[in-house]
Amino acid sequence: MSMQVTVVGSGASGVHFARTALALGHRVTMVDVGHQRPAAVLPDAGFTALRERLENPAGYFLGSGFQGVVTPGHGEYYGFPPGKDYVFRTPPGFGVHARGFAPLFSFARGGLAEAWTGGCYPFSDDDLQDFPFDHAALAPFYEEVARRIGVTGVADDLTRFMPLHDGLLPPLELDEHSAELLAGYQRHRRYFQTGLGCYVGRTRVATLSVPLGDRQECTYLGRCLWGCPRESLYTPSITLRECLADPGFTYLPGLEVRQFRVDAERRVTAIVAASLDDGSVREIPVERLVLAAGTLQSAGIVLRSVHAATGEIARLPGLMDNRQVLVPFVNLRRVGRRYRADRYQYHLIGLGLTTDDPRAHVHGQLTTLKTALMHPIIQQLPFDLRTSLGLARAAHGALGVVNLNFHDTRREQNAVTLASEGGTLRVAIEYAPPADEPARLDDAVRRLRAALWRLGCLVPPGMAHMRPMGASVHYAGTFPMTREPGPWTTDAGGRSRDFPNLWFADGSTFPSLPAKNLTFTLMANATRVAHHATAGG
Amino acid sequence: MTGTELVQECGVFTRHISGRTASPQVAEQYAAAHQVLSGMEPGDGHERWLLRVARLGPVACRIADAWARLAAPQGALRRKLVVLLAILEVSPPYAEELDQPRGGAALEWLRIAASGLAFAGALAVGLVLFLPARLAAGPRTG
Repeated sequence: MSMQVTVVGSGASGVHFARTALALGHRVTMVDVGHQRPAAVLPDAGFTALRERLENPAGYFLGSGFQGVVTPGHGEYYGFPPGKDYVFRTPPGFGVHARGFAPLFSFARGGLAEAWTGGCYPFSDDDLQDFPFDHAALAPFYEEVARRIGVTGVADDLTRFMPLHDGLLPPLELDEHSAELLAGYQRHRRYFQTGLGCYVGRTRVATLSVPLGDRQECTYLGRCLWGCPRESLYTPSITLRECLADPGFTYLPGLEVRQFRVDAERRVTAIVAASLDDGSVREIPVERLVLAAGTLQSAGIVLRSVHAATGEIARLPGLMDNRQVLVPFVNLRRVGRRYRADRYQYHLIGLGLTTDDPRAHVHGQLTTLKTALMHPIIQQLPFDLRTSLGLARAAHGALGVVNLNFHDTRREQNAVTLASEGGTLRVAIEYAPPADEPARLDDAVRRLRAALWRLGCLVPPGMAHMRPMGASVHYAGTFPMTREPGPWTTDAGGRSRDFPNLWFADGSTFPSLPAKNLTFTLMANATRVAHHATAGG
Repeated sequence: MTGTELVQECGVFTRHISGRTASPQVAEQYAAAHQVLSGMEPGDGHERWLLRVARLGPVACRIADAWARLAAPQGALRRKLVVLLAILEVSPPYAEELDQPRGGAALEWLRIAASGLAFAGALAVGLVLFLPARLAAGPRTG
């Protein structure tokens, strides 16, 4: 029997839920703010040609408001590309209270993953220990998503952290620097594995090495950082476009869902959405509601709904995010060597650091720097800019950054709730890192330094940068899937135990967060939840 | 600052960073950045003194920059220089010269050594020039 399902949000979770429900023969209405990506500029030009052919290169690379400039004190090693500003643009009046957390929100078509770097890392049985199902239950959905989006990868030493699945495409070409580092690891493999508990291999990325459907393979334009103009790098807006071609799909953009209404049986009867055009408020009746707006926004919708219905300000404990530490390095053997800009710009090599508790392993993505803007790094060298620039020029083809990710667990004190500001209720976030975090971070950075040193790479003292909590944008944990029923939880199918016709398809339901980019698992889980949410009458 | 003063400042700072003169497009972008970015004005007497010296010419600018990296890394001079560097690194023809090595590895190591010596010299002069002003201005702001 065909059902009508209403989905809030067009991010990685929402579009894969919708795509699956449509394929199963159901009708889907998607409600979304839906800020749109600007059209690609000179889509066939490589990076260097682009810089030369643009009338105003500073406007393109730094933004009309120079928002792409990383000014002193910012501490980041990457300037955010202005072409991706639309991903983080918020509706008028939007605001949030946050303590110990620097949250990012997206109201874009495709959501936060419009700005991702494509890392696709299936959760293993170790990662899923707190989930009410194991890897085997999720494996078919990883494969289904991989076939939809195109994931490149190989079986190698990282397979111990990332289970294999069908549908992997051949890996992308390595740039020269990455190839040298990987070859160095192969020469010192025993030292890495037994001495450091460090395993190195290819990252799995959602970038096409061969054509897939109407998408073209990567031609190494060197423009990944600025937004792939060929759509070889997958983003959820591609799946949204596929949904739009389905007659069973209705897309309602320009609407910010604020809350839902419930009846006496706590069944959701309608969603309340504000129009971005004129601020008017609409009520849209729903039969089955699926929240896929992202963990923080989905939490906000539930919290406002509960407050509207009961006057209660609920508190949702267990918010999680991956701590990230950026570790820049210089490959001393490559100093003075030229680099090629027409190479893949994101990570091609990954690493895993083992820990006593297999759930706490550390995952890293190694990116060799090519076309990334250099001023964020140059300004942090301990010299005047002319000296620093000379160093950076000589070392440009020798530079790289490892982005270490650390796992997180649900803890009572890390919560999402509401707080009043001038009569307006806003989402309020509290977060404090675990007490053992400094020791875990120190241990991982120490082992990484040793590994890089063995490869001939130096980590300049004082330049490892701990990003603020919230920066990874891997939010999860506010409505965990649990085996035992409890308030503010869901069953294994993502169905709310508080509202019987409400499902969560986003990271809200993750009961723990391994040290991996969760986006691929969000897509696979949303695909799995779509089967549950459309089952039965 | 007037537009003319900003253009002059951009010219000196560009020669300090890249050794070249600033193109009209770079000067235009530099002035535009001052319209929208915060923290581009000196916060105290020490920063004003640093900027005044830096505007004298590329050598003086290098001395002021070396000192500012140590004593006022987030002050107005460093902010201006970093913003200009960001503009230069995306603007032809500066971009190509700034982002690829000019010779082989041995030559680059020699350049690095020479540059390190120049930095040490600039910092030593900077200490003499700016430390008294720093002490007189009180706690650092940048």
